[in-house]
Amino acid sequence: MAGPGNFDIQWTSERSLRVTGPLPAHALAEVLHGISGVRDVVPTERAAYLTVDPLAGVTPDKLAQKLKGVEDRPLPEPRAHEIAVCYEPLFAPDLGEVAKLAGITEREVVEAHAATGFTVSFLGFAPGFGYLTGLPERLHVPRLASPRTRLEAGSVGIAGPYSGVYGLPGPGGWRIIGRTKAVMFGVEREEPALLRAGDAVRFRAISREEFDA
Amino acid sequence: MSLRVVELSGVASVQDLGRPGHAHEGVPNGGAADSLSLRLANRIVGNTDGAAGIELAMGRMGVEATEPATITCSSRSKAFEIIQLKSGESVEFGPDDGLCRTYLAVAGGVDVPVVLGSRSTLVGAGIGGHQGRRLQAGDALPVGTPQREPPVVPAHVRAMVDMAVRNRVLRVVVDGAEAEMPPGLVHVSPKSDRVGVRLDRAISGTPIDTGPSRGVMHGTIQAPSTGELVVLGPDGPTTGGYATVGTVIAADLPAVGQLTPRQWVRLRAVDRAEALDVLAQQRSTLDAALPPVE
Repeated sequence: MAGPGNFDIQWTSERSLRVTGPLPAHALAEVLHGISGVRDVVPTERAAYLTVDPLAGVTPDKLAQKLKGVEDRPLPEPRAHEIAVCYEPLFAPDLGEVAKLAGITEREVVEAHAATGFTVSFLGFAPGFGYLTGLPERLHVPRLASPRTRLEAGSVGIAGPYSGVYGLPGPGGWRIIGRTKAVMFGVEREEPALLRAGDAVRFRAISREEFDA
Repeated sequence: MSLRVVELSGVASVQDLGRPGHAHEGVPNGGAADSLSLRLANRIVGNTDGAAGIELAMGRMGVEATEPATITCSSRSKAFEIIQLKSGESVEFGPDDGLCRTYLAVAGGVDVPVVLGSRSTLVGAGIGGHQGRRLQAGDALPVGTPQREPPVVPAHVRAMVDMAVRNRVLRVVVDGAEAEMPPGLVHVSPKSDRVGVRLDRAISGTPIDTGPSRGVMHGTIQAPSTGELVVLGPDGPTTGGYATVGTVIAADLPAVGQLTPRQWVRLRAVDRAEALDVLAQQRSTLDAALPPVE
């Protein structure tokens, strides 16, 4: 089933495929987007997942043809985002518990989070929600045993190896350590999601005054 | 011209065939949970397949036309008949024996703004449809201009669609050779919605660890914990870390959208070729009886 060359292309159902190869999934996804019959391409950490029109005749061989030589092309330049976050107690209900779990002070948690250069590994869970990797290991904390039923938009959380921003109000099980006013998803924008897989992200700590301004 | 919601119990929203192309941004395809019934309803009133209609789950609804309108409802009592509403006239439709969802199509389509290529409501993100939310009594939905006269509808097409959406043997393309379908009947949990249909007591064994995230879609079957399977719905997530056991074939997704709590279903493993055959046959039977309009 695998296509020729350096790519592994497998059917995962009659209308979906998984593609892995010698370049990041987000770079693969960029090439696979827009191929006739391909409806969606979702990059994750390890692979790009395609949804195709089942009767459009897409095959692993045809996809492999399109991917020929892409490993030799330069990777797209990652975009960089700076996201302002207020880590004040009102916005950080789990900061104390995270500090306790990590065995450091709350201040050190904030400093470590704001000093980290994150990479958007992939988007999922909800529109515009990016899974950011790069979190220092001592901040790898388990998600809440029971998710909150409603988080405010802009809640900044951590869980396991990830950090992320809940762009829309809704349920969530990550530990919340701050809040941002950045709009993570806006349908009025040409590209609604602020983040794209592969982008670089840094958080900048701001005061309550700056947050409210 | 608009349709006004005069009475509503249950969950109703504006839906079309969804918004492909945004899954990498975390936006699910969305669209009608039973796309086959919406397709047929649209063809009956002379619309294109992708026109927006109303999806009603587990309840009753009454709509009133502000001006003359041609509509059809998928519910058994209305049986996809053409209904000509005069100005100020209303129609009631509602829960159907053994089916979860009813569709209403209106000639010209529900003309709410297109958001990211679709009129579908994605309630979780507050986008699309009527103000990004479920419908409420009092809402007025704009209706587009009808493009053509309703066609003559052969009776058997209704029966064919009814049979397809009442199918209770869901065909599944399994993930790898090791995945096994639960033997016997599995029970549809009341905790089911457009995000996912939960199947209780479906599998036995130890809890399955979450692994690295993979891309998932409408029809992916996740195994989040012992004894339970979730068939992701049109508004489900686009990635997930839970183990997966397979994917319900495209031709059986309309039947999944019609499962009601406490029903029993059976899962049956099929290969890709069979999945494609069934879909091609379903599409060609519908097209032969009542062709789509371009």
